Amino acid sequence: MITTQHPFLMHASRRSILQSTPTMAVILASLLIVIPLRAQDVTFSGFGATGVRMYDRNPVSRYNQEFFYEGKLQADIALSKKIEAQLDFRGDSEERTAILREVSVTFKQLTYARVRLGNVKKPYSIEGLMDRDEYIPVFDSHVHRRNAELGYAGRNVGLLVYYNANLEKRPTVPYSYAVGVFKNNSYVTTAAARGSWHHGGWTTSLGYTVMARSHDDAITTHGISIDAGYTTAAFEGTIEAMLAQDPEEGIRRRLLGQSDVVWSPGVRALAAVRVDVGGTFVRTIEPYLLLAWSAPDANAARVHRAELMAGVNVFVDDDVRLRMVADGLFTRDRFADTYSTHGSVFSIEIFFRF
Amino acid sequence: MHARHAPAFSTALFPQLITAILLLLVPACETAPDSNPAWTLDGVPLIEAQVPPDRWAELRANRWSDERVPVALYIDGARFRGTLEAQGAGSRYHARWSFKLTMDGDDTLFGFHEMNLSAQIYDPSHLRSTLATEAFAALGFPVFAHRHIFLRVNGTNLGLYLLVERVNEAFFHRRGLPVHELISCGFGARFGYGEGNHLEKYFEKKIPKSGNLNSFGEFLHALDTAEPDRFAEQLGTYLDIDNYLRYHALASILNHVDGFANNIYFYRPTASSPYQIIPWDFDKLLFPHHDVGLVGDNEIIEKLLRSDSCVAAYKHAVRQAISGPLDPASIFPRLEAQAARIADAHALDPWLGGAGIDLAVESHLLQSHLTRRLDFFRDHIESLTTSRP
Repeated sequence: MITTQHPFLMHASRRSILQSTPTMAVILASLLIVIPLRAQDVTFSGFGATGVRMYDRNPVSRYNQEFFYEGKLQADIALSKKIEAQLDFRGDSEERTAILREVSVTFKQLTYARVRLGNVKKPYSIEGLMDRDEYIPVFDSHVHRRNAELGYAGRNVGLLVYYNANLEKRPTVPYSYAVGVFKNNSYVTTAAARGSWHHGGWTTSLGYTVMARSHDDAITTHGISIDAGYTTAAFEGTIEAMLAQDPEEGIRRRLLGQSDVVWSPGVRALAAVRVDVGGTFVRTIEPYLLLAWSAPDANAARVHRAELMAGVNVFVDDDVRLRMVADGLFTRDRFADTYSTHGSVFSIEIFFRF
Repeated sequence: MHARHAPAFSTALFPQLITAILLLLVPACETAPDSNPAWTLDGVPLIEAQVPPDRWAELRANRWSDERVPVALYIDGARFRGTLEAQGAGSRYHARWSFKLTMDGDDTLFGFHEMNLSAQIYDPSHLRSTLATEAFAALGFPVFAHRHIFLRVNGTNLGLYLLVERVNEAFFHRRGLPVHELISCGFGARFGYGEGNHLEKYFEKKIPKSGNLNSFGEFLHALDTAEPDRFAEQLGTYLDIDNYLRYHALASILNHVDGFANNIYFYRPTASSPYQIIPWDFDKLLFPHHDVGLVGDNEIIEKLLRSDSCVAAYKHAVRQAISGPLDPASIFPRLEAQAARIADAHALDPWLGGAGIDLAVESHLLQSHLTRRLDFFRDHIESLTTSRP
């Protein structure tokens, strides 16, 4: 029996959730049954944000502003000492309905080989693994968006075996790894592996992903990523490079009688500093700069996109911040020698997490 | 990101710092135009679609699971909202695929609340639907309205798509046609109980939406048991035989290889009417790799051609189609006019012009193929005789 008094529903629209898919309704019902029985084992977290975004869209300038709101509600459920489950719901003013983003169950019987099953993130690149509420910029870089579109990043149903380094508890094992196999509903099977080495504030990682698409237009493609980062209390900097085959462009080239191996390179760097201003209202400011570049085809890099994202997070509390960012996209396509700023966006939002 | 251990910093500098950051952001507000030729296409309207990037990635990964994502559509300076999902059957296997677009609220786009954006993956000319809809309409069949559009999603040219009216309640309402029942046929549909049949596997009742296929089952039973000399009496109650023969004749001339099992709608205007046909999905028309001959194969035509009168009616329908809507003197200029309208969009499409497909060549191939089919039917249709089981 669903009641509006339940804390889960107090944070989400009951109408919209109940209008979602039957699968979601079943999961929600299961959650509502389980949570009261084991309330001490459930942790809720999430975030909310609201603000305005101004887009460079051609040619409909009168619709280049959008006032928006969005939120996430995540339930982490300790089913036993060694088994945890997670449900992650998202919603925003665009869809106005709750979307079940992640369902997973994690088995922690083996310290160095935890097993996660569900609709989970594929281990590819730093951005691909970062939680939205832990990520410094407002937006993912265009390189990550492209990787997700090609299928290397993002969530699929799969099995992941991983270990995340815990340097305080196990300083002699400064390594993290994740190996997984995934399947989506577009006949694509993905295998991905990523390893990281931690030393002081430094982390370096190497990842490899292979995707095999079956049925008509079958193709197998590969992607590699390498990255490094340095983190202190007042600074965070990361740089990563990716080289991934574009499966769809490969299929299209095949139609032209050309090689179906089309490599798409991308690089991305982020630097952020945290400055404690010690004010009564503003505690900390965090300016950051993200630079990124990618080309759809390494052999035709004249066609490319560069990104300059400059922003600042103004913390009024550890968990409440004003976020301003200008995300400039500079695209040179095959039709012109000049750069277009189409798709650029300026955003101001108030963001909180819990 | 927590900042509890950050070093101290003078608050006096805070306003200046914020100002400096804002000034840094200003240059990014200067805009430069997008040079993509899609913006200046003639003849075909541009639909610029914006889907949240993470949701777009999810849609791409869930073609077979009816994932539905929000979309903002920009057309000629107007904005609409709706949802987008993958659509189609065999086309979902391909690199290029089709969408179902549903507008929010009571909004309509080009007059439709729900529509398909069809990639027409088997039709490199994008002219087959024009050919077929004109021909079927001329023979009295209700056919879907359509128009070409050029689709961009999140700044990427997806290409030339056929915006197709869906066959639903609104389809009949727009035409002032009554509808009591509408049945769609799926892959491998078999019309009869000869070797066992599970109706729910092959047929779906669209109007009214229900799993009750009893009436359709009675039609199939009648098809199984009717005697050729008594078709009008025993089968005519369930199937408009003349309507079906006209459909089958035209579909056979057009080598509509997908039109004899799936891609057919059966509808009844009233509870006492026999089933009539609404044709659907023409991109595999004049398919070059399979020839259906004089008569496309399915259980319905196999049974009907056991009757002398049905054979005569079939031949008449063939002659009527050849001399009427398929007369090259009337249909070819229409195809060429349509080709002229979509030429620029076709050339810009990454999977058509961008993949080396020449519209002029494809248009010529289509017309040549149709000419050969017409010659074949003129030469051989009189040789068709009544079949005996």
